[in-house]
Amino acid sequence: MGKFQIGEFEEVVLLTVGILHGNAYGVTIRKEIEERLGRTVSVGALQITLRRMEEKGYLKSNHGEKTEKRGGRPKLYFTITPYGKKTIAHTRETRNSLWEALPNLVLNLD
Amino acid sequence: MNRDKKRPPLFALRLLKWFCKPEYHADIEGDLIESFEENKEAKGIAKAKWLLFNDLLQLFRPGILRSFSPISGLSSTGLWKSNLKSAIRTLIKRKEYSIVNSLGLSLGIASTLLVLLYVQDEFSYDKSIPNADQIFKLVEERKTPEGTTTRRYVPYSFARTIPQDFPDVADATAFSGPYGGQQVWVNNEQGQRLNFLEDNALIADNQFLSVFGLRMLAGDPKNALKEPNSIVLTESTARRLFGETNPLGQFISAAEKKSVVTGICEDPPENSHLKFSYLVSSSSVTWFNQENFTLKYTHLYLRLHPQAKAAQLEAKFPEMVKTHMSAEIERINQLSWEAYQAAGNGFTYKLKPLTSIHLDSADFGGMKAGGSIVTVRIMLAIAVLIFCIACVNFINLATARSTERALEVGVRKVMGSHRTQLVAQFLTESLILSFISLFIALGLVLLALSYFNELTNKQLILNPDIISITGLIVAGILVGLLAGIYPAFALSSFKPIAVLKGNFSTQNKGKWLRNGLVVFQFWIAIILITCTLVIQKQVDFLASKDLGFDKEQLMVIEGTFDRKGNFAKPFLNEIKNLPQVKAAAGTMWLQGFRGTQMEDYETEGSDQELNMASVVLGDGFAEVMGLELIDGALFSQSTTDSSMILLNETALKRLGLDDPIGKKVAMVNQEKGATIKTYYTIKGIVKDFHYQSLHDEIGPLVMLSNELYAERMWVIAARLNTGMTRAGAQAIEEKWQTLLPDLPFNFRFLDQVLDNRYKTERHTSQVFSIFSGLSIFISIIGLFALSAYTVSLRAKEIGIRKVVGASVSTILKLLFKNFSAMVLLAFLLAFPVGWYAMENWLNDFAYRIVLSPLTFILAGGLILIVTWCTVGYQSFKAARINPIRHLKNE
Repeated sequence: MGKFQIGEFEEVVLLTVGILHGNAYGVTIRKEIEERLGRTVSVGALQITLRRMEEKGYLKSNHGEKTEKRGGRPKLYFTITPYGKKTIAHTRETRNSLWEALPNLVLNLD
Repeated sequence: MNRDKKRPPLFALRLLKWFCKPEYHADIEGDLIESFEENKEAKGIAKAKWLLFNDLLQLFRPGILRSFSPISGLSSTGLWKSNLKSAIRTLIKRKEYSIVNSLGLSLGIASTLLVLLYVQDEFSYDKSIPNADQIFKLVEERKTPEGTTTRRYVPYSFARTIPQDFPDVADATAFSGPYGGQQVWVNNEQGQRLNFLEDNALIADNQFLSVFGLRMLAGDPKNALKEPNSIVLTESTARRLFGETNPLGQFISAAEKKSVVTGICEDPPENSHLKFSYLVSSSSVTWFNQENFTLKYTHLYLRLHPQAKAAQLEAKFPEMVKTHMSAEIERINQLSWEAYQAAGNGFTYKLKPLTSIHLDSADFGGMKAGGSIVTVRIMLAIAVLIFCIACVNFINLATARSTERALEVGVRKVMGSHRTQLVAQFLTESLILSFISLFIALGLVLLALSYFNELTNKQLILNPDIISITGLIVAGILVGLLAGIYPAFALSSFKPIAVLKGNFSTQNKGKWLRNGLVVFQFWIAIILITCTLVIQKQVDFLASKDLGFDKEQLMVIEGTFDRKGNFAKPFLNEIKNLPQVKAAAGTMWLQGFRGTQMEDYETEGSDQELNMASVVLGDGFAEVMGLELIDGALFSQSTTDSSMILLNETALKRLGLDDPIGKKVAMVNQEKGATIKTYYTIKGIVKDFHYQSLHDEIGPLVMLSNELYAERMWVIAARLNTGMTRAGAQAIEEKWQTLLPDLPFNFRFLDQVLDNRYKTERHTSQVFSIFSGLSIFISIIGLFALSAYTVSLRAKEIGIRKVVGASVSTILKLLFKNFSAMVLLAFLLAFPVGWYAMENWLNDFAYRIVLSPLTFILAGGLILIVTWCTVGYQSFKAARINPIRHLKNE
């Protein structure tokens, strides 16, 4: 159980990497999160989250092409590893089971 | 240009590269640039830049920042251990280098420490008195048409009026003194009378103890000095007079009056300008109790309330002067206060902070020899200079060894040493050396402290409190870093390839710095030597200057003879008849014992007043002193001289009299509002003699006869026959004992007393000799090592020159040239500085030597010779050696 636990922001990043499927690198991930969730993400926060999740094995990365637009720097594409997939699936399951256990009464209160 | 402006700021990218982990850097930079470009299109360049900086700032977080230690993964304690070990090994391997280096440095530190102790003590004066910053001394600024003088004595009645008139003032005390030569006696338990001759007596009012916050060991601090004929003793006086008996309530006879001991107070602190052995209540003295604003005999100290401002109080004093003093002044001068002021006269009162009195050149305290801020500055300057010489040595020695260390640096670098590690290693070495030197220095200070105390007349101790220990540790680190930082960076910058290929040469590297530092050392040494020579010359000059009288073999007997009117004259007559005594006379003035008094005089028929120093002499005194008579006659026993005066040449010149003998001169006095002229007839003219110390020029002097005062005398001067000094003193003492057995016999010799007046100068001269000796010594140490290095650099050159046929002398000349040029440069730079400094110092003396360039040349020559000897030793060794030794490795 414990080893599948990830934080909220980690979950967002993991899902976004999944959504972008093959085109997930720093700029696009950040833009996607900002557009979809309407929250600002700093490069610093995003970068360490990506690196941390790569270290933990949820993500893997590979260098892409160098473009003039990026000042000759390569893109670093992230993809979800099978272990990462298992983890978000697990997260979703736990959430769902919690949702199901929630009595209707509580939700109707307001 | 245009394109450049639209690109992301280079600075931001550089910053990122600097702080970001290298493995993350490339793609983060890519992201930032891409975002920047997009933002630029969408939101404009300014906004894009702003966003970029914002992002950059947020990248400052632990996961992104790179590690700044040179090598990660190694434990830093291991590194330090390795540094420490190799530093100690290097130091042990090059023993002579380490010893020379730490010796120079420890001498430098030790002298700096001594001076700092001295300076700290000088600045600590009166700070230990409770509420010292609220205590002020009232001083008088006396304005006359000729100028303004500030005086230490003020009217005592202000001590009563000031606390009443100004709510800012908490307390005020007035006291007069110090009085010396006081005959004091007490009765011991067996009823025996014990006699003492006491100095430093003060007549003080009841507030004295509370204003200065002196702790009472016995007696009531509030009222101890209230009643007439009360005496408060200091602890040490009480012990001296009464031994172990409880002095409280005992009787003391002082100044022919019986007083009762009402209290014992602690001794005033050593580092205070206050000095007294006992206090007599001012209510015992008649004049002290009558209101008077024109008698200026007393010191007056005020204690203000904590919030009070001294400047605000001072501003109210002119009004106070008008209220209390103007009426009396108007009456004396027959002039309205406004007219008096308009003529350029006036009194202003100023508040002198208690803690500033000691170092003030005006000597407002008058109870002990004041300190001198000039001396403090000179000492500090010397300490800094010596310290600089020592540090320079350290740097020079370390860089000079660079050839030796270059190979080590090269190998270390090849093995993967980072530059910061090498710097750390070299700094460790210099830190170890600096701490070793610090310990040696502490030892040296302990050894030298008693001698230094004697020299400076102080009781300094090494006080191991937290602040000084921290200070020392910080100083050790600072010295280590200061002296070690340049060599560390210079040594660690070697290129390993160049070093290891073997064609490494440091010949020109840092040559300018090294030579510059040597010149700097010579410069300091030359200045210090010149100062020593000049001060020495001036002191000799003062000691040997013809004073206009004979100070040798002159015994001066002290005691308040005036209180024993029927004793002094018989005693004097007795000793005159002693075979060992050439001549003797009583006097009310003698240089070094009693000062002169300033009085106004005018010649008959003129109303031009002239302020002249006046002294009162006994019959025959001029002969005893050996004063030279130019015209007329001296005071003698066979004539009545009570209305006669003698003048010195300067006085005669000032008065402008042609045929002086028999002419009349009036002494002009103000008494009870009336001008009183007392006429005197000029009896004789005496050749100018030094009646003051040689700091002051000979002024006009009027000599009156003590017949005017019923032949009173303060001291008796007896000229002993040569070779009979001891016997004479003994014979005189015997006479004293038979005539006056119950009073202590006290005498001094005039030459010793007068020589004591130039003690400060003698001390300065000694301090300079010691410090300049030190500076030369430390410089030699450095020079010795440096010349060894220079010679080793040129070893091959010397070898080749010898092979080609150069003689030893040619080679010596070659090596001397460089160092001689440095000495010469230093000499040229030192000349104006030394000249200026010494000219300034000498200006303080009315009688001084004339600076001669010869002194400077002597100092420069001395340094040159020392340099030649030092360099010569090394050079000679190199020049004599078989050239094959230098060349075989090629």
